[in-house]
Amino acid sequence: MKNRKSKIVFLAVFLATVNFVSCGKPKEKAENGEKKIVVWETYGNEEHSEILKIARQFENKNPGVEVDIQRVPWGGHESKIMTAMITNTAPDIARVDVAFLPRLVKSNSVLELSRFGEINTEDFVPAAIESNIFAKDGEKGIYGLPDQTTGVALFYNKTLFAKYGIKSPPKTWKEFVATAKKLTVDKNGDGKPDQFGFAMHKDLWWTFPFFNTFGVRFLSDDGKKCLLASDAGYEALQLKVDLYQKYKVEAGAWQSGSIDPDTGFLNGVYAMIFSGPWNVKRFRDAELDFGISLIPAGPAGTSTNVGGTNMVIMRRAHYPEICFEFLKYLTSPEIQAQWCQDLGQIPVNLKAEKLMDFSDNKEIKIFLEQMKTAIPRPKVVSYQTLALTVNPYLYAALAGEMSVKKALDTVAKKIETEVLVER
Amino acid sequence: MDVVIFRRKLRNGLIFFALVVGAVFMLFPFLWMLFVSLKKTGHGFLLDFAFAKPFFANFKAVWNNPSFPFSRFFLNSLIVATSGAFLTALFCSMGGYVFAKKDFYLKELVFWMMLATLMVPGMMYMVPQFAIVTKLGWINTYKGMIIPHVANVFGLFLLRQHMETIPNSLLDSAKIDGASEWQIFRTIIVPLSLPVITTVFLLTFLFQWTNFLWQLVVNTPDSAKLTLPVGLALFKGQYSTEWTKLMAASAFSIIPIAVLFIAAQRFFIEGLTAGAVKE
Amino acid sequence: MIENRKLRATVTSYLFLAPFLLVFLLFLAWPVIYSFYLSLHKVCWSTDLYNVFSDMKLVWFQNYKQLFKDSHFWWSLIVTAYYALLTIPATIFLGLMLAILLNNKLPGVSLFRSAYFLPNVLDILVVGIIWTFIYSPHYGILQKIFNLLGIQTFAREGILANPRTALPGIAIAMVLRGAGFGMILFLASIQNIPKSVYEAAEIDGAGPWQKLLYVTIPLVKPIILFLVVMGTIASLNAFTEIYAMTQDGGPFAVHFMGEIQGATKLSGYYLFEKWSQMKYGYAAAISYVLLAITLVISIVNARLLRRKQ
Repeated sequence: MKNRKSKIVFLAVFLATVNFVSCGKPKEKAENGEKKIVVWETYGNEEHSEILKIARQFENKNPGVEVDIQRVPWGGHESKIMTAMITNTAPDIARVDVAFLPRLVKSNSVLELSRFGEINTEDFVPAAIESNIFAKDGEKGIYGLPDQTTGVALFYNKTLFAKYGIKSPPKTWKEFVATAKKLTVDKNGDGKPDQFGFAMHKDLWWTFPFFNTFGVRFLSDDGKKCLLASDAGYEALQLKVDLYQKYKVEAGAWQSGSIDPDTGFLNGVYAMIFSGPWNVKRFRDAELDFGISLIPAGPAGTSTNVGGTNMVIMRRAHYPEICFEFLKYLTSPEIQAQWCQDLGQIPVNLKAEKLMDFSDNKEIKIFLEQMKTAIPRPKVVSYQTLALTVNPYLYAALAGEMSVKKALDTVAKKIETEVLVER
Repeated sequence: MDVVIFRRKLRNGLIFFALVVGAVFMLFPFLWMLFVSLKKTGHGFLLDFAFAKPFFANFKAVWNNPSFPFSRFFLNSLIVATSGAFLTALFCSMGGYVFAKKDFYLKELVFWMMLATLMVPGMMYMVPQFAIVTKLGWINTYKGMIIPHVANVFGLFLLRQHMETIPNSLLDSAKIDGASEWQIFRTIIVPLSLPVITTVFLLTFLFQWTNFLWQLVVNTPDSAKLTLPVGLALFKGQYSTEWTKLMAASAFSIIPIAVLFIAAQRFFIEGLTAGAVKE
Repeated sequence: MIENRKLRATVTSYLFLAPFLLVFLLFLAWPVIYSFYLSLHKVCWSTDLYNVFSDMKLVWFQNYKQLFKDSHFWWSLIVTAYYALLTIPATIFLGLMLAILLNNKLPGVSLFRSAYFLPNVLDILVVGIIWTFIYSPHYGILQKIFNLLGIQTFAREGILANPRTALPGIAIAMVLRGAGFGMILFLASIQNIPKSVYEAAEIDGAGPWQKLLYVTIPLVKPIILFLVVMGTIASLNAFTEIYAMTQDGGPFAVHFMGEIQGATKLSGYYLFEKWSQMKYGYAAAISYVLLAITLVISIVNARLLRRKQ
């Protein structure tokens, strides 16, 4: 009995706390007449500290302005922004995935930016700014500014290359297969390799480097036809499938529940992977001796995919002009140089390149070169729907459940009827 | 005689052995999580003994992370889970009592309506619930996190089933003694249903403790009411996740609650058995 | 007279029910009704995201029509039922076995009780990730054990990439996580069975198996039913374990109704996919069909439950 009583008291105290705390402070509006803009970002830990620094610099330059940086977990940021819009609690500026932008533009959720001031599109990495340009009612407009651009390049383990007498990273797909074969080794003699030449993801985004180096055009110019089911398309996907099925140099990292390429590379069990600038610092911190080179060239030369994020001004932003100033500031050569110098990333502003010192960051130079060959993603309204449509077929082809030709033929038809037109 | 004792000993030994094997199996993921959380970055999945240097480096990295104010998150989680579970248990008991023991208008209809909502996948509730919470101005409050989930139909169903087994004679005699409805509820129904009430409490507590999406949605990113699952999600990056750190972070969130449960277990088990014995 | 009494009982009842009912109507009933309204609508590409719900297009039953032709939806139902069959009986069996073993006077019983219950407080995501490590081909501990035993079936693709074993693999992880909860309930119930009942059975010459079958199981039946209902709801809502262990509901290696299907794409996951693409109307239609199906099952279930009493 005594026990139970104390339990109830304990709970009562808790409930009291709940009410006390929740009645606490009312939500403050910008104090002392300051103009406040709210930014939702999805950065990692180091990036978060950097953007806070930049926001303070901006505030010092613009007295009377407060930039409130708020961090949202990357997982779930889209649903969070969407629910926030419904209830009018959305921020003024949001950092969104490149693939989310078309929907925001189509639904009039973000503001066109060139009406606030001049934007020199040629200052930016072409593929990055391109993802912000949309034609609406026959008129082209800029609906966001890229804050980060990425693409993948070939990462290779220098220690393993030296061990197996490989002098330089492969330049073409043919060399790539040969190199990968040398690096696929059965170390403990049980008849199965436990070190692999290569490891890859299955998803569409990670398949673009294959398609792009074979010169595959994804959509027709009018955006109504999917051109994936072409000879170049078959060849590109066949190569990807062969790496696993025929040459057996790929670890099967694309399968459900496998060890992902990054982790395996970090441990030296995968000798080569495709990866982006985001991993440079992490791999370096792990004291891995690695090099980066261009994606192996196919019939159409080297090329890569485009990822990254854009900063957009939401339609109901309070001070859109200040928001615009902030975005201009964030993407200015000086700030981009500072950001990329500190974090080892690719500047979105091409002019930043001259201001940067690459002596500690040689990798960035390779990424900059690689990004010049990058081909933007097909601009469909919902990239997510596109990926969800394509990915199962890529999986089936890789698993040998379906021939490459059949997979691409089926998926091209599906894209035309389910992704390109509104159903 | 000796043979009997020997056989009993053998039997107990075998049972003990089976229990140990079972425990190893069931605790394996838990122990493995601790193992991974101590390893060097990137060695998470490997079967080696490459531990982080210093040994607790991952824990330190999590603890010193400015985006992960652990004690704040922990307190929030505790408040949300405890009060959520308490209110749920209380409301469900009150509701379960009248459904079990009273005859009133629209009883079965209301009950079936409630049961039907049980079968709708949880995700469907999110947007409408969020709209209501916003209208009520409950964004960034504990209320907003707790109240939408306290009407636990499942708990009500469970308690109704149980309370129907309480003999009516007990209630009738209390009524003759002049007890009010509330007194009957407090002094007869609740003590006799304690095991099931405890179960409901436990279930809701666990649900609230691990609820991620709802708690993410009802808090703005600058909220002071963020809970552990939301904090943990910050370790899952856009491109890569550091498993070893994530495991260290989740060990932080699990160990205190595991200790709490083991400590409170006595109460739960006693509650479960004591209540039933009186039946 | 009776009318009057019932009226009074109604007033008291609704007073008791008030807090529950209020929250229920606001946060559960209204969203369900609203979902039906939603299921007749469609969020279009051009729908204003700031006013999603007033700017949707009314399409009447188009979502339902589309749903009945959607092979992925039917497949997800089959997989969900399979998942329920994999998890529910196993959880109950394991929970009961552990409870029976723990019902002996042995040293360290309370320690075991805690140990078995502990996995329940683990986050599903964390459990999923850990099991992914355990199951992983080439490097996982399970494969190392298989190597010692000479089993090479899973050497190349692992448990989770094999369409036959992916879902059972997830089920094992979830059963081992959840069995402790059933164990606690069974234990409490078994400990309440009077000794005399067993003694009477022994006098009648019942062995341990007979005692289990004819004494223990009938007496713990309410708990079994309880776990069945709970397991059904868990299967319908299963999402996190899929997300953690097979990422997007793969392996995509099953042919069904002329389409490639994900071997672990449960209806809860499928619903999430539609929901996250803002296909709110379609998602609502899915949940209404699920509701209809489970309602039929639960009515049958409740009938059975009542008869047993």
